[in-house]
Amino acid sequence: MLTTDDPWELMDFPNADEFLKYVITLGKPTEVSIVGAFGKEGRGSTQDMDLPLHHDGDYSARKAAEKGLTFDKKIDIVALYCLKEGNSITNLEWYDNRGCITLKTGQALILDNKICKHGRTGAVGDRLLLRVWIEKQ
Amino acid sequence: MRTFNDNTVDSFLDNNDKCVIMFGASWCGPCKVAKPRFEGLEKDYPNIAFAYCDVDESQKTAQSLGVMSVPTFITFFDGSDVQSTIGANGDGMKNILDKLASMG
Repeated sequence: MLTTDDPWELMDFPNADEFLKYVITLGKPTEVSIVGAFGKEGRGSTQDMDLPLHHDGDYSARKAAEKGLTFDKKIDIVALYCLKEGNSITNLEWYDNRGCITLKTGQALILDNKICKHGRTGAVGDRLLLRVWIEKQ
Repeated sequence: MRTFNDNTVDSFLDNNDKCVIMFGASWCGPCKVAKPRFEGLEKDYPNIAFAYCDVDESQKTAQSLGVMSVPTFITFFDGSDVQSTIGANGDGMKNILDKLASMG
């Protein structure tokens, strides 16, 4: 249960089905994606670089603004389920605090996207995440 | 500050009524910030034993205590865990140390 004092949590799920059933209790899912290294170029490619701390949606909003568009998805909660673990490190920043996690297969990181920033140290590599954006209702 | 691993943690807990353990990792940037802060607090709490544990070298201990992210700080009183705090924030460390210091 996310609170302002504990704006992120780690949970274990036996499979992705159970993860999805849980996250839809948190609000309305606005996007479900698989996050990993798939192509050779662009986002979602075989990136060999760190991903700075960010709120999900910031990049999309910036890209949309560059094109004179607006990004109107409300991302209150980001839920990341680890389908396949790898060596990359997930970095978290909340308030003036910071920590690190190496997500294990079957583990989910659920965070308040308004309070927490997250990022990655190391290449995406083999790590595969199921990501759900949630709008609170 | 003492460091320990899976083989030496029990003796550390047995020999110290009040203690605090920082769980960290070499790959964790915030741990590098937090460790000197943690070490700096040791002189302010002379009745509490301080120790550091690398989660990669002490996976069994970290797992048994539910450590899933780093840095994590856990206080112990008479061998039982009392309170924990996650993250490199110095206030979190001080809060759990103050509570432990007031016990017993």
